[in-house]
Amino acid sequence: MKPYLTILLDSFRMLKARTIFWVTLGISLLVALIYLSIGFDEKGMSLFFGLSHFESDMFRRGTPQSETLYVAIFTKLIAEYWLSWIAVLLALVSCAAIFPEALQEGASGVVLTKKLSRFQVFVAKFVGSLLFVTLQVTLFVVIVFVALRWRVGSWNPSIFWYVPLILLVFTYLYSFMVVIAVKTKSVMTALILTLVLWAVSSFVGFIEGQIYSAIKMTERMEDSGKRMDVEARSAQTEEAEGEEALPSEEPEMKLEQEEYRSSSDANSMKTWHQRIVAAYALFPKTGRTMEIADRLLVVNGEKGSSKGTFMTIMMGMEMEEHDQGMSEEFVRVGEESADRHSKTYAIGTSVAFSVVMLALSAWIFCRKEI
Amino acid sequence: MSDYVLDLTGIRKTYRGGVEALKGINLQVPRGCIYGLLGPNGAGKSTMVKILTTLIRRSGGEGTMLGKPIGDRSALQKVGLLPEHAQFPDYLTGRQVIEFTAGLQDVPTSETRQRADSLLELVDMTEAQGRKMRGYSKGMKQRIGIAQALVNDPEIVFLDEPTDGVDPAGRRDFRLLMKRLREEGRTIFINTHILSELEPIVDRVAIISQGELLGEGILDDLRSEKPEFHIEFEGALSPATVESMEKTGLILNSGLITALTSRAADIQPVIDQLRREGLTLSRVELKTQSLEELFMGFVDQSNVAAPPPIPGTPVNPPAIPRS
Ligand SMILES: Nc1ncnc2c1ncn2[C@@H]1O[C@H](COP(=O)(O)OP(=O)(O)OP(=O)(O)O)[C@@H](O)[C@H]1O
Ligand SMILES: [Mg+2]
Repeated sequence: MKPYLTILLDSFRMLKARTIFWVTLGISLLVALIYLSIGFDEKGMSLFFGLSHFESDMFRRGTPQSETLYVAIFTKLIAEYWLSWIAVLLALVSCAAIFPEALQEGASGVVLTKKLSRFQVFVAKFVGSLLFVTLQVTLFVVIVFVALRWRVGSWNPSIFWYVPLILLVFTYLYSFMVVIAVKTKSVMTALILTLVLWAVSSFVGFIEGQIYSAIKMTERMEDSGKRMDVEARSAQTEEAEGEEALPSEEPEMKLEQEEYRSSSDANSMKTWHQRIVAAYALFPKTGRTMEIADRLLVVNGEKGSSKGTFMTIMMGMEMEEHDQGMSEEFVRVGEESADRHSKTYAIGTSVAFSVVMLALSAWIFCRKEI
Repeated sequence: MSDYVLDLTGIRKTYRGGVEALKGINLQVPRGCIYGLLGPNGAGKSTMVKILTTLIRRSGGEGTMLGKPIGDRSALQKVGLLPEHAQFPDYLTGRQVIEFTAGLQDVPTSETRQRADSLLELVDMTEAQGRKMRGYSKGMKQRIGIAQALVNDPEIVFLDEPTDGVDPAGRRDFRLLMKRLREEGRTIFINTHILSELEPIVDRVAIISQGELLGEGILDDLRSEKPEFHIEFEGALSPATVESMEKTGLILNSGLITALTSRAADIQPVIDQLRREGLTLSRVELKTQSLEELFMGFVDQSNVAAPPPIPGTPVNPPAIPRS
């Protein structure tokens, strides 16, 4: 046990000795502090611990909207940008040197010639990196947890879902980075290729999502188009039969053509979508994994997309009555699209990716000639 | 089980890219000796140590270390290593480096503290122990490197260029330390090409060049040139004395008499004669072939197809006694 602890301790000392560690910690605390500085009172809300204040009926102490807003600032801004991207990036940068350094001639002679086998050293170093990231994220989330209690008045333990899920995202990317790191022993190469992978998989995921939404929107529009048509015609002839009726009998020529065109578009879109989904299965799903955290978050006592709730409220504020149906429709499509892959699928395929990467890197690490 | 702490046969290593760093090396290292592995740059010395400490895999050959097949990690727990170009975590203090190795070797915490103290004392780093490695000079790092190699109470210690960067006083300390370790019954395996370093302390040497073992054995046995006395004087000998001296096998040059013996008693009559003739003795010296000359002899012979005969050296390589 002691040799493992020695390596863990050394990894921590190494990380601690780097400027990037303190930079990350500093920014992290700053972001948490800014979040903590947002407050609500009887008249409205304030920023920077009361330095700036504006009045609002909706966003003041005790209203459900203020909780939604406060949580949404976390999910929409902090989780979506800071945690999902910058914090993960900083964690990758922090840990990038661990494996290349372990394989440098001078250093490896010290560590790899001792009691622990190469594989054991590999595990110790990997676990060390994960522990380090866990600590950083946990510290951050604890501050957010306290901030939520302080600002909206209730403990919200569902926020802690972010810890394992960010750790997962980090693991997907880090496992890939370790392969490159042990293969090339180059920090820069490992980091850059990992960023490329991240960008590519995010892009593929984004495209997949867009096409999916487009397909769903088209389907819905077709549906409601048909419905309206049926309603119009049945109103002309006799009493309406109800919404379930399908326009199966004697459709007009014009409608038939339009339908034909749009459904062939939809079909080719679907084929494309299937291909992209197949390709995307091989990639780590960083975005989807973060979405899961968002959906596990409880807001106003309800689990589910806080973003959706947030959007409804925001849109509700700005939109006229007749647009509301449209915005709800939009949110529904959004939720459906988030549901199209199960959590198990998103995490399962990504973890499979990580396992393959880790097996590969462990194998290279164990066989590497120094 | 063999008496040798290291018993290797036919160790070969071909690096990727085709460099044949070792071409079948046989070595037997007896317990409790200071063993020098000598060779010019690129001879394969570090390659040998890396194979023995599992940093690289051998391409062929067999062997045991401390009775275990090479590559067996349980043997490594009784091995100390100062690697070539050792790079210790520079954010650690000297003391922490020693504790780091102790931790990796599973030395009980209760013992680590006391051992670190005595090792720091041993390498004269007690005062600087609390400073970070990055603030150390090259020689200071090397001292800590030697100390950490000893923290697990090893039976065999590999030191790859241990005195690299160490000052003369440090080198003297190093030699004393090596002798002390030998007295404690440890085997010390030193890679070096600084031969003057090793000469006063080494028990056995192996000379390798370009991956081949050129010679192995006790230093005295390896010496191809026999020791001789050189007697230097001022003035001229009488012709009668010259004649009688040449008859007894002494070699006379102007101002120098060479006696092919290593016994001081043998040359006393010569000195007496010189004194009788009123000549001034300027120097009497026992000349032995230095390790460096020995080494160069081997290496030159292996490098040159038809080596020029070195005065006093037989053209054929000497038979190397192996025990
Ligand atoms: N990783 C490597 N890949 C390819 N060739 C290597 C590698 N390491 C060493 N070599 C080659 O193997 C040969 C032996 O190298 P080695 O480092 O063992 O020499 P050495 O005797 O320790 O030399 P020095 O006294 O300079 O330290 C050299 O020709 C070297 O170029
Ligand atoms: Mg070397």
